[in-house]
Amino acid sequence: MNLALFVIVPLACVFLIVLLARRFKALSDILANTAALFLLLLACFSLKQVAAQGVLTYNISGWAPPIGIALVMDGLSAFMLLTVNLVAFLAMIYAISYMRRYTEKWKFHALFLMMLTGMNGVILSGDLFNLYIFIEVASISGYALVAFGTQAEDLEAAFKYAIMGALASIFVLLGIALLYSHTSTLNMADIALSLAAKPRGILINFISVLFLAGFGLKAAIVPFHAWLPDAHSSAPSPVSAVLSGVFIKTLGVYALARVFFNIIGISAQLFYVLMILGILSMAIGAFLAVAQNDIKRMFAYSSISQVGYIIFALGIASPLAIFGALLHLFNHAVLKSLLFLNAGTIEYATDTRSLKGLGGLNDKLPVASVSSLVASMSISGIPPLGGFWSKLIIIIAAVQAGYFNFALVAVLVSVVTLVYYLKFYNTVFLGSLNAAIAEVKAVPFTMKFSLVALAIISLIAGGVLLPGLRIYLQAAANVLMR
Amino acid sequence: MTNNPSGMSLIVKTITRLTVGLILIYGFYIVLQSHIAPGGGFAGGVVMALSLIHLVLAFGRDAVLKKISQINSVCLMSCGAIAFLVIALSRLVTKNHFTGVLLSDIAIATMVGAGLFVVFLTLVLFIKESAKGNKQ
Amino acid sequence: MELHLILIFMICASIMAVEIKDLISSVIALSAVGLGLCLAFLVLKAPNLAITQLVVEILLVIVLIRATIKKDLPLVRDGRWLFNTVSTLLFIGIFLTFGYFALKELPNFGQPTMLVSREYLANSLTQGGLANIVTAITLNFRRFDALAEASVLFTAVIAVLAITRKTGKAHDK
Repeated sequence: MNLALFVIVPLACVFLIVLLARRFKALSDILANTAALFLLLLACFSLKQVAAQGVLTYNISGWAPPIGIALVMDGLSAFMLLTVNLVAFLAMIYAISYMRRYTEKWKFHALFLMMLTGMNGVILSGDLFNLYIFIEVASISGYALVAFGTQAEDLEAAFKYAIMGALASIFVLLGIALLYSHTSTLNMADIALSLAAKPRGILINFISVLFLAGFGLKAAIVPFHAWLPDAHSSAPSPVSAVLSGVFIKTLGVYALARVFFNIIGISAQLFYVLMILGILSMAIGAFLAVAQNDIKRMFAYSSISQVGYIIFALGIASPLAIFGALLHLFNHAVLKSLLFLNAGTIEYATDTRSLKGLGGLNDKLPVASVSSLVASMSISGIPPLGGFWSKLIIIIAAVQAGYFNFALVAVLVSVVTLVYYLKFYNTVFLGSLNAAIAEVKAVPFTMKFSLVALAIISLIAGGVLLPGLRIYLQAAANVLMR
Repeated sequence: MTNNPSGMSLIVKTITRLTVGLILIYGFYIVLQSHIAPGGGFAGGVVMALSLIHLVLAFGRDAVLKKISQINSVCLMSCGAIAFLVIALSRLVTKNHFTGVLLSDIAIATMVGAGLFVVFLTLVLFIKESAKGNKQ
Repeated sequence: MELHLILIFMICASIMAVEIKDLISSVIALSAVGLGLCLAFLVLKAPNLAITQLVVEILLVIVLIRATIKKDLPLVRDGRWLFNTVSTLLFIGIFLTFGYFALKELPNFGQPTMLVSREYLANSLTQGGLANIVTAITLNFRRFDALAEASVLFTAVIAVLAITRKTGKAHDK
């Protein structure tokens, strides 16, 4: 199976949309949604193939690595591809109706598909410089999508994100250049072999810090998180869903894990640094989220907190912890995108996002209410929903490794998470209809479809632990444990 | 130098008529000889875009926009991009490397040239829009 | 020796570009940085990069001058200026110290011909008839990277088109 299809198909669709969509109005919708659906089916199919065949590779233009570029798909890549394409497809369906509020929808579709190309390329890339270029492709489309509303605050948020993102990319590029000079090859497997043969010096530590700073900023880890809340409150809701659900995880967490676990190889100090950063992100994100009034900013800080859980679990680095980290990654991708799409629905229906101006929407927006309830309960860790299992596994792994105080912090943060999600649900949906709401518009079918689909997936996400489906997640975790 | 819609003085316009063609051909030359001398598709494309920008700076945006509209440039950029994608994938190229490099250079040059010209035109039109908005 | 002089020139020019109040002077200082970079590429024997850098710098300066003419930028010096400057200098100091010790471990420039580069040097003429090795690398061996770079440029153009729309949100009907 041709791995390059994951990148070629959305890229070709972008070029076709830009060429033709001015004349054929409905073309961009049809083409974009078909491409996203095709990629989702391809990701499911490839998950099965990797489970059967092991690692799949594809050498571009026939040049064998290390001369040429190779695309590699192992268990972790297949798992990430499924997550990314699933969330992107459902966000695209949602955007059919939601983006009617914006002008020139074809530019949105072009940028969105380009972001999807970049993310797929990052996941599949087997070559370090290729990884960097696809990070750039995804990042630039991200900057533009955040600014898509072209109001003054949208442009300011996008500008802030662009400057910080460009700085992060420079750090990553410097790290790649130094690594290439040290090992004389750019292929990831070759670099790993070459580094295993050389002694570890200050240079490797310097490169590790550069990568940590660069990828950490893309992943919105504290102290590099400052761009995320502004970017989220300005971006259109489907973009926020993809940004918080899969973008920061692909460009940040996946790239970090790939570079540190598989290429450079970790030392105990680096594990400890990852754990500390994870704990900081968890705590700071949660405490800042409680005080927010804007729904989307609250969800943005919650994202910072939950990504902290994933980084913390990666820092523990026992097999159980990595399993929990990946399960939490999938859970959070589904749940956070569901929450952001809900925020978009609320904004679509009532034209406001502030907690002070909302209330009592339980009867008027039943689909949004039920899916928000499911998502809030799951992300706070209420059994037997999916989020509970991933947090439990992470906390058990922390206790097993002996970090009792960190595990205690994780439990406390989980309680705080429950507090602010209950505050959100209570204020927005329960009670009587707020007098400040002028009218509640009806929610179109495509938006409801995405909400229901994501809610169903989040309900059955706990089922991944069943022995039949567990092998896929175990294969992904095994890649990082080598 | 101001945002004068009718361009610059007569001297500049006369010289531009002579140099625009030269710059365009020089850009194309950089692309074509990229296999034996420094150059390459990206640099050649930028030079071709610069020749068109030279035209806009000298003659003013209205005169140039009548001949080369922004939509045509966007279409040209997309065609160049699709051509490069097709060339990168086709089997012909994996057998004959030289043709592949030459064709992809030309495709890249088209894409880069048209794209940068679109960016410049967008910024020029944007300044015109906001100037009109300020006057109203 | 020349490389060090050019680098010092670039650092001075970029510091000037940040600190000058007048926007046009700042843009000219920025173009001096670009020119210095082009000269540095020539000294390092990379004419391909020098040509590209030069023409992109020309384009950049035209666009920037066009954008900053008749605009004024108030330079704000509020209370946090001292903290920002001190923390920036501290960060630069730590980065340079750490970097100096780390970069000592790198091999000398071009001394042992590296694994992949050796293959490129050997194969580019025979397997493509391309005497210019840089073009051979970017467009023959690593064509996928060139495709991705072209799509980065494409994305940037679409981004400019998207951000400079007249109206962002359609008015509700």
